[in-house]
Amino acid sequence: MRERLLNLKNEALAQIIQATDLEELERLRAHYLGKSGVLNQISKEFKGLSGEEKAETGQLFNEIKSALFQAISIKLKNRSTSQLVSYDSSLPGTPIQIGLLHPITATARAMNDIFQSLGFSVADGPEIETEEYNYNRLNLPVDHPARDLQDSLYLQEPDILLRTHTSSVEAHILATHKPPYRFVFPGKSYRYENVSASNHMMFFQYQGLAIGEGITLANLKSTLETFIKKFYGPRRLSRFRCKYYPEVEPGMGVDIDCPFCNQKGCSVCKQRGWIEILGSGMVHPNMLVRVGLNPKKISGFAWGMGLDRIAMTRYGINDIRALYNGDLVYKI
Amino acid sequence: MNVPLNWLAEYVDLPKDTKVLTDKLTMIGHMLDKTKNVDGETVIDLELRGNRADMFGLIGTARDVAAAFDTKLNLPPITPLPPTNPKSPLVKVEPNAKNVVHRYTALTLKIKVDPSPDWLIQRLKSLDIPSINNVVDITNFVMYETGEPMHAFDLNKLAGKHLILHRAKKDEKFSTIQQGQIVSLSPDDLVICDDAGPEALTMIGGLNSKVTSDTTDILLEAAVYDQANSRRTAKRLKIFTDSGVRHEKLLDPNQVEAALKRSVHLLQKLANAKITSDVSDYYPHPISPKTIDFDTSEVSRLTGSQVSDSEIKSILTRLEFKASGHKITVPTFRTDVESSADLVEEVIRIHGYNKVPSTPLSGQIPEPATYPSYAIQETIKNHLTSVGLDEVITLSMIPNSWAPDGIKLVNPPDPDSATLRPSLHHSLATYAQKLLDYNQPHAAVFEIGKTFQHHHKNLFTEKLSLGIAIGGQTAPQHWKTSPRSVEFADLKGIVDTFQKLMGAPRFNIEYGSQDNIFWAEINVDELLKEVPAYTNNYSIVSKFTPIIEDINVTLNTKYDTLINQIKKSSPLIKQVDLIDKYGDKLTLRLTFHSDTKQLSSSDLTGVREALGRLQ
Repeated sequence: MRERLLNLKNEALAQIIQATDLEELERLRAHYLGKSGVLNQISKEFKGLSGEEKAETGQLFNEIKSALFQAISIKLKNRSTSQLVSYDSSLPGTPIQIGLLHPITATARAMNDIFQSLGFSVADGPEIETEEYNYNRLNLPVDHPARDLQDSLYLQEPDILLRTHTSSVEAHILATHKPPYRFVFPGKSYRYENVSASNHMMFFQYQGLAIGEGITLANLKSTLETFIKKFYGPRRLSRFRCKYYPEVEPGMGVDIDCPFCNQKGCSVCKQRGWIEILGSGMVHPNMLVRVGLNPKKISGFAWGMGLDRIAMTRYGINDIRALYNGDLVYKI
Repeated sequence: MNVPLNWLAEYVDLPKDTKVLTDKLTMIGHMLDKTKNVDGETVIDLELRGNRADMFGLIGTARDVAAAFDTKLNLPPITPLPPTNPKSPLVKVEPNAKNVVHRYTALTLKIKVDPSPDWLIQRLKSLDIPSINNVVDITNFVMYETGEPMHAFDLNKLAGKHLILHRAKKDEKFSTIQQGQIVSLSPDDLVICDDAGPEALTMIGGLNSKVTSDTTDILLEAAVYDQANSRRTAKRLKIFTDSGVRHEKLLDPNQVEAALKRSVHLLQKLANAKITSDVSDYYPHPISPKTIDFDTSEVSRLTGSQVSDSEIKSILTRLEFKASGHKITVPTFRTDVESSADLVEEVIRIHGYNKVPSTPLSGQIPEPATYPSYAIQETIKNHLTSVGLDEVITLSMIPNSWAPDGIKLVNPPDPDSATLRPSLHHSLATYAQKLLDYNQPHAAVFEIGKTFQHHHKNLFTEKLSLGIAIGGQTAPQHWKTSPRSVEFADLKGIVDTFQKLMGAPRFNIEYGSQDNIFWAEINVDELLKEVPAYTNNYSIVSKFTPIIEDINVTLNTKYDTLINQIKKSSPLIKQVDLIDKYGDKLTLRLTFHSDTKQLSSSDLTGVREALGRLQ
C-alpha cells in the first residue's frame, strides 16, 4: 500500500509540474483530489488494514494529499492574473537587503575603471615593510625628515615598519617587472599622527606608475587630464606646475579649479581658486638605475594622491575617523 | 616662507600686479599659500620646496624671479673680509664633532650697540621679527636676505675668548637666549662652548653671551652643520627657530662668506664696526662647483616638449648655470641640482609647465596584469554586497587587551591601541555591535584586510583575511515582513552562498560569536589557491520532470556526513534540502532527476531501500 501511494504521488506531482495551462491543472485537481478522484478511491481500501498499518498509511495519505494540493495551488498562483490594478502603488514595497561598498572602495573602483581603460592594471603589496622598500629604493636619502621615528610606525627598530606610503608598492613593481608596464595601486598607509577629524594614523593613497621607452611628461599630463575629466566631470579645469618630490625628476603638482567657489576663492581652496589633488613626475633616474634600467633609454612617470580625501569630498564626509569607526551610515 | 614684497624688490624688479608674480612663482615650483598684509606691507607666503635651500634667502627667491621674468638680479653691497688665518685661535672643532660641522667661519669686531634704524626695524617687522638692537637685527636681516644663519656672541662674555665645538655630555644643561629656557642635552647634540660650558646650539644662542646694550666686542660666526644632526637636536629639544629651519636644509658652505661679508658691511654702516681679528675658517672639505654632462635632447625625451637650444641656454644662464658645450656647471648654491634630469626640470619650469603638450600614451600596450591578490578582493566584495553585507574598514591597530600576544608598535600614537590585529573578527563584531547600539535593527558587515602575525624575533608576516559579522534582526519592522532575531544559520547561509559563488566549496572557515553577534573569518591567501578561474552556474533545464520526495530521518551523526551518505546512495539524487528540523528529527526533501530519461517510481525502488536502511 505504501509503495502504491508513493508511486501515485510521484506520478501526480510529475503531471502537475509539467502542466502549462489552467485547464489542465483543474483537470488534474479533479482527477486526483476531486470527490470521486483517485485519492478518495484509494482511501476506501484502508478499511482492510490492521490497526498499526492503518495509522501509518493514513498519515502518509494525508501528507500526499496536502503535498498535491500545495503543488497545484502554487502552480495556480504563479499563473493567476496580477493584482496590481487594485494595488495602491504608493504603499512601500517589501524592503530588500543589499550591501554597499565602503566609500574608499567605491572611489577606488571608479578610478580603476578609468585607468584600466587607459591600459593600466591594478597592483598591491605588503603593509609591513623594510626601510629598503619604504625609503631607500624611493630615492629618500637616509637623512630625509620623513624617516624620523615621529613619522613612521615601527614594528621593530631600526628596519621593520608599516609602510608610510603606497610608493613602497612602486619599489616592488620596479624590482619585479620588466618594462613596459602600467599599474595603479590603491592601498592603506600608516604614519605617526595624533588622530583628529582631519588626520589619522591609517590612511589611503592611490598611486600609479608607467615605465617604458619614450614615456614623457606630456604623456603624464594627458593621462591625468583624462582622469580629471572622467572622474570630476568634463568642465573641471586642471593646472600643472613644478613641484618637488624626492621620487621624481622633473616633479609636477596638479590642481583642479575649486568646485566649491568656481575660483572665486573660499575656505576650502584657501582663497587660491585651485585645489591640489595630486603629486606626480618622471620617475627619478636613481630609481631606474637601482633596478638595472638604463635611464637614458627607459623613462616613466608616477603619481600619487590621497584616496581617502578624494572619497571624503566625493561623499561629503567631513571626519576621517568616520571612515573606520562605525560612525558612517550606509543608506539606500 | 614669508616674502615681504618691498624687501624683495630691493634685489629684482617685480611685476606691478602681485598676482602675476605669485602665479608665476606657483608655476615654477613655489606655490603661493596666501597673500597677507603685515603692517601695511604686502607679504606673500610661499610653500617652498624642501630641497631648495637657496630659496630660504630673499636673494635666492629674487634670482628665480629674475630668471622667470628675464630681468636683472641686483646684489646688495658687501665688505671684503680680512685674510683667513689657519692658526687663528678663535675656533676649535673637536674630533667627535668633525663629521657634523661642515664649515664654521668666525671673526671678531668692535662695535657700538644702538637701536636699529627705522628701515631695518620695518624690514624685520614685516616678518614679525621684533627688533632687539642693531647687531642682533643685522644678523637676522642677513639671514633672511642670504638664507645663511649666523650668530653674534658677546666676545667678553666668552671664557677664554674662543669657541670649542664638540658633542654634548649626557644631561649637560644649557640656558638658551630665551630667558628661563634651560634644556638638557644628549651626546648626539653638537654644542658650541667656551671654556666654561655651552654658549650655543646650532639653532639657538645662549643667554650668557647674548649681545646686549653693554656689549663692546662681538664674535660673529656663520656655519653649516650636518642637516640631520641639526634636525634631531631641534626635534628632541622642541626648539624651532628660523635658523634651525635653514640648518635642516642642505646649505651651501660657500654662502657662509657671502653672508659674513654682507653682515660686516652693515655692521660698519650701522654699528660703527672695526674688524679686530683675522678670519678663522674651519672648512676641511671645500665644495667646488660640479659639472653635468647635458644633452639638450633630454628635454624633449623626458618632457615631450620642444625647447630650442638657445632658449635652454638662456634659461640656464639666467639661473647662473654656466654652459660650455655639453658641460653645464652648477652654481654651488644650487645644492639640489645633481643630474641631467634636474637640469631638464630647471629648463621646463622656467619654459613653462603649462606649455608642455598633452600627448596620450602610445607604443606597446602592456599585457593586462592585475594582481590576483587584488582581483579576488574585488570578486569577494561583489559577492558579499550582493548578499546584503556592507563593506567596512576598521583600524589595523586594536586595543592591546584584544590580543595580548599580538605585534606591538614600538612608537604607537595611542599606547592603548598599540597592537596590530592578528584577526578581524574582534574588530568586526565590535563594529556590528556599535551599529546595533546606534539603534540600527540589523547589522551585517564584512571587511577584507591585512592581519598581522609575529612568529619570532625577526619574523613578522601578514595575511589577507576576510571577516563577516551579523547580528540584530533579520529585517527592519515592516508591514510585509516579520523579522526575527539573527541566528547562526543566517550567517551560515551567507557563507554557503558565498562558497557557491566563489566556486570553492572546501576552504577553512573559522566561526564564533561575541555577545549576540555571529562572525566568520576566512584566510583569503588560502582561498585564492582554491578558487577556479571561473564558476559555471548555468545549465539548460532537463526536459524530464523530477521526482520529489520527502523523507524523515533521525540525525545521529554530523549533518553533512548524513547528506553525503544519502547522495552516495544514488546518482539520481540531484538535490537534498533540509525542510524541517525538530530536535534530531529531520525532514529532507529529495529531488531525483535524470538528464536522459523520464524517471518513474520503478527507477526509485532500489534507492528507497538504500535510504530505508539509513533511516
